[in-house]
Amino acid sequence: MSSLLLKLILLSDILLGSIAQVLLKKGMKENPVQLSFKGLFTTLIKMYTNKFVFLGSLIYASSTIIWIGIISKVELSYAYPMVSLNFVIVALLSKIFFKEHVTKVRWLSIFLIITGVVLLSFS
Amino acid sequence: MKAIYLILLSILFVASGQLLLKQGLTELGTLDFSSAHLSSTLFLVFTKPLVLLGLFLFASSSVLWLTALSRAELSYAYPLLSIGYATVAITSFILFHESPSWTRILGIAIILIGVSLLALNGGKHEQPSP
Repeated sequence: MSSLLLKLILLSDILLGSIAQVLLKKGMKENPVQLSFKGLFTTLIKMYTNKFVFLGSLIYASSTIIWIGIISKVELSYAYPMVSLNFVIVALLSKIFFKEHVTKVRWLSIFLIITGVVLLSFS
Repeated sequence: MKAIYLILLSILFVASGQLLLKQGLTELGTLDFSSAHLSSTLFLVFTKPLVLLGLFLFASSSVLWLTALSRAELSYAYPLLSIGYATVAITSFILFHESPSWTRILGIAIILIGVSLLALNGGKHEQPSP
């Protein structure tokens, strides 16, 4: 497989993971739950029968399987820091779809976290 | 329960699930995934208590995560997941006696600073509990 194609697959997979989180958030936002041992089963049914949560979980599972395929072909120290792009994509999507107020402090935190993940991937 | 506790618990479950899976699969030794032995290998893997416990922790962590999402903003909750990177790195230094390089220690420190900054400034944007 060409390295360009692999990079494209990696980026698409990262995007898939972010989209999954947005779908999960959408489902849970319109269908909030309280956790308790009493009635846990009913709560679980309520959670996972929501179409957004169901679809989000499915996409998340697919992106994980694709990820396993990717790291069998790409060095983990390259692939791993790329995944922290998720933090930026998720923040942008939250702003667009949920009108969340992503403060400057929140962007700074995301920047610090990405820097940390990149450093962590150096051996 | 406040969203931050649900998120922390969810991360704890994922990290310990990961360690249990690793331990369970290590105990099983070399696994033969060729088509002739696939079904017996899968039976071996999925009847191993440590593997099942690990998978149960993964499932529980996703329920905790979803519950957290029903009340916290996504742009607040999602970056907190990076605590998992720091935790797994620190745990492997301790459990597997890996000697951490200064770059890695710096990486963990910076992640934790970012996470603390986020967590300490996130409370007021949290949505009310249902």
